[in-house]
Amino acid sequence: MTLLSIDFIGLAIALVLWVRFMPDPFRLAGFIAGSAFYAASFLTPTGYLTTGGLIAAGFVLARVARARPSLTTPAVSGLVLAFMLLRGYDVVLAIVGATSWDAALASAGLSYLLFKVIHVVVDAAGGALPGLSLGRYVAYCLNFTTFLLGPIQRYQSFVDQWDGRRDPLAADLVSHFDAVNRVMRGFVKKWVLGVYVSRLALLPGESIAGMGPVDIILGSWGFYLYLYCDFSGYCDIVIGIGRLMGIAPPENFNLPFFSPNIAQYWLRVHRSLTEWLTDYVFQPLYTAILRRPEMREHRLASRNIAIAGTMIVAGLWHGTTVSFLLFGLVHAGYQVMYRTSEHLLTSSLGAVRLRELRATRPWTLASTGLTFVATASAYAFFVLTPAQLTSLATAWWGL
Amino acid sequence: MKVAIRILLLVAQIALVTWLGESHMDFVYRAF
Repeated sequence: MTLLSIDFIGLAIALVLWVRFMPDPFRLAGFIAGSAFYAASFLTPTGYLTTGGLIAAGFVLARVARARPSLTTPAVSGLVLAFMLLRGYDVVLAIVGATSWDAALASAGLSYLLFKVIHVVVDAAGGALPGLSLGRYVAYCLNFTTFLLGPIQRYQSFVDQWDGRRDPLAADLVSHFDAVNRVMRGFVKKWVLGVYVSRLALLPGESIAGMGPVDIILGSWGFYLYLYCDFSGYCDIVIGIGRLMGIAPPENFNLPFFSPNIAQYWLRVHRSLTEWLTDYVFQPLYTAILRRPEMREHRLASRNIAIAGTMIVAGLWHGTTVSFLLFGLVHAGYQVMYRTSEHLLTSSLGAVRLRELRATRPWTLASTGLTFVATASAYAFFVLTPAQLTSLATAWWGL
Repeated sequence: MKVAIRILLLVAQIALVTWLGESHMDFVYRAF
């Protein structure tokens, strides 16, 4: 069900009215039914099984982890392995000796669902979800505003809004118009701007025969702009609908082209993913590294290792091939370079002098330009398949 | 006045999507 359709707009209006005005238990049952109808429009019959299985496994494992927190790590590891098997990661195919995988096993929304489920299991183990109920958990997992492409909402935020403890929409008329305009802004970004920008972009599956380095890099910049229009437009649509409904997903984008450094870039692009990775990958990894006696004195190195690991997870979450591993490694390199240079500059100039320097116009322009070129060019690894990357390496450098 | 501006913006955006909007590939959905 595409977002620019009478089907989707009709479903969204019906669910907004249903959630705002129906009493429980009809409110919850109708929301789950409507969201399941939406999700089912993207799934194959095998996809119903994988999606239903992941949701059920998450609930059972959250209960188990809450009763016995020591089982959290095996539970999360099992979920990740099952996910990698279902999506057919290159490394899994290599291990099992297969060259391809039944594509029907992978289903739309599975990557987002995995991160929602892991969050619930880990938070349940930590005692943060004392009132985890099956109905609300299923509604949270299937929520039609976040099922397909995020933003990755936290269970606590969903339940707070579901129970009316927090309403993302003020009662005045202007706020209602703002929410509707947010939806329409998303349609303009996604279906007007995005379409025109996509004609300048290098898109996945496109032939790259005869392209030189400049064509590939400029095409990747085009893809970055296209992805921004498409994805942030999608987020505008679901955030606007969520506000009208009373359950708004978190903000996800904030003009990433103007990021003055790589750390800011990750907070301005797909922010809900960055926050998830910070809480469930970076923090545990950093804490585990610092627990090692030999690393306690090396905080910068520990931080760099943890952030590099996090970037590799970020890369692999986006896709199953070696290209996405390279995408993660490139961003790991950017992060390590940025954090190390920050450390060295602070040591040599002092924090005050560095802050003054950063506030100057030439510094801002140079750092913003450099961040744009670095992050936009890295999308080449997002777009090109491993075979295309190999052919480029052979053609350009004779590798 | 505030509401009037928002209604104008809404009409302009609806006109833009109706006039120039084009359906395009949804590969992003399938990828995730």
